[in-house]
Amino acid sequence: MLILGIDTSCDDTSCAVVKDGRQVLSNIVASQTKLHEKFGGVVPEIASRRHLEVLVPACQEALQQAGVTLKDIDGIAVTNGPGLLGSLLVGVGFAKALAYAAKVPLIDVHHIAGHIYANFLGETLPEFPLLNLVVSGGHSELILMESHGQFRLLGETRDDAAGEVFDKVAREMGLGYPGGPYLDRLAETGDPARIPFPLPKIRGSRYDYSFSGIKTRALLELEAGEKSEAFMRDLAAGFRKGVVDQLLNPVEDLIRQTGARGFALSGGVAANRLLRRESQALAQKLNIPLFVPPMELCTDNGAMIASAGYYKYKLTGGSRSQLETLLLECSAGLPLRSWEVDVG
Amino acid sequence: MKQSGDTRNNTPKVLAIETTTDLLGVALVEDTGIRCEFKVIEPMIHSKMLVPLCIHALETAGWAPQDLDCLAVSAGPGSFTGLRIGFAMAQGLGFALDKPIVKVPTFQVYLRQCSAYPRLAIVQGRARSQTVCALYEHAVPEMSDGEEGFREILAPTAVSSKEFLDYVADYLGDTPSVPVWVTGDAAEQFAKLALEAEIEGVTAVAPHLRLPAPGLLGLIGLRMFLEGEAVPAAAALPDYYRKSQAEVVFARKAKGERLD
Repeated sequence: MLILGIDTSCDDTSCAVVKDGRQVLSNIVASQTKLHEKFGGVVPEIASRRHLEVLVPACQEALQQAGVTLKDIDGIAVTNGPGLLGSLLVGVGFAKALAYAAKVPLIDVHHIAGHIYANFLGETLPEFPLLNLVVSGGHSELILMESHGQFRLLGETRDDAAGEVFDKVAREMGLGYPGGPYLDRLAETGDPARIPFPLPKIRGSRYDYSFSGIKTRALLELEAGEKSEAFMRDLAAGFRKGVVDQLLNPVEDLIRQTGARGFALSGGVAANRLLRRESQALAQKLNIPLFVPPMELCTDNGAMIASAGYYKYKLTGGSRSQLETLLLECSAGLPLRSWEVDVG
Repeated sequence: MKQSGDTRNNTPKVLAIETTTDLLGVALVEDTGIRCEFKVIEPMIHSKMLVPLCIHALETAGWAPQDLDCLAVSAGPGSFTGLRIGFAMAQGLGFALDKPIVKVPTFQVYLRQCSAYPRLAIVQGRARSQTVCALYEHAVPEMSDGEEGFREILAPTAVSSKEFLDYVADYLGDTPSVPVWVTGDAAEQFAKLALEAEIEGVTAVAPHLRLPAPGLLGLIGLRMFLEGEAVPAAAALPDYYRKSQAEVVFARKAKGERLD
């Protein structure tokens, strides 16, 4: 079964063709990073305009690279949230028209479910229960999956996302855009012990995160610091360790409690070197496998949407008429729900 | 071989898509005229309803999607998001069915549906500071720009409704005996603005003429298609007439202007 996956949730336009939810035949990502660089962040209106300009070419290229035509496609999977509403509308509108004209099912995919399914595109198939840490510029969530499409949210950020604070602090440090990867590289050479960032105390759920305090603390240190090269390195290293420590703090506890048989990282911040190393060490200690997607499947991409779309269709497909699916709406703040077969 | 039950298979067939305002509209048009026209006036339903409405129109007329020769899309000025919803779906249909797209200037539709008025202003855009405006007057055939018989006084321009009101007041001068009729989705608020500023001779057209009619869009689209103005789906993009606010602010900052 060939699924065409489309993601336009933020500032990357992506189309991909995936076979049977596992095999990436093509994965085209048209990045808009350069367009937004001078504004220091993603401008929603510019992002939406660009999506419309590159969607058909990206789609053509994805089909061509996969060596197929639209006639060979068995379903269209598209992100309908969460994300920038104006951007989501472009992808969803395009996908609806394609699905109707090509007479194939339209499958709506939650962006976080997409990130999680990037780990189903690797050589080893994860086993359930699977504990997922989804970390990106918009998300920091701990999600347990007992089986396909069953998502249980165990922890989430109360304020900023981890990727957001990485980018923000990097920007203030003058490290380029988007700053997360630059900060990560700089931190590799610094001393994390010189400026320590302790774990925050959060009331309520012990598995939730809070990154706004650590961000403010880093910005204050930056303002007060001497701005020497060594200082910048050490600040980056200390700050990165503070964020990663917090991200992984609940994980051991949760894996023991839930009997998880695998730990999976996903989202753009899964590319962070320290997070990868520490996760690997933790997984080894607990004797469970760690899953991390290759770099190009960590950031937003159509392949992960196609994979999630495939598994969702296998689980729920055919329970609604095509006309019903074509009434699909987008939502900037779409909540992650488990996949259910509609009855009735 | 055509699969449609329609017997007049060889005449060009157009699907028109209108999403530039709160009016969501779809029409099917052929050389004998408007075959069917559906519209819903309701904000924020365009993304949800456009494809189902197209399906409804095609099923009503008994046309298969493959029977279409082209898609006519209202190209702006209008709501940025609305424009993109219309174009994204038209691109999807055009790409999948291998049909071209004609971009119909939205103000052409207004000129067609308000062709009886001697002086016509178009004010499009719900936010007062973000409107796109144009002004036309009737002229003798050799002086007019199109078959609607209008001469362009001010081409579609991104100005605030307040700035445009000053322009219209200047134009009216001492002869408000011939009023300027106003159409567009901001027609009513523009007429109100004129009233508040005590400028006489500015009147909104009847409510049913203030939003673009999808059938007329289709008729203009069909003519443009026959004149060879269709483009491949990938090349069809909206005419926004305005930059994003972030770009406007950025350019002003770069010029050292103070921002208020």
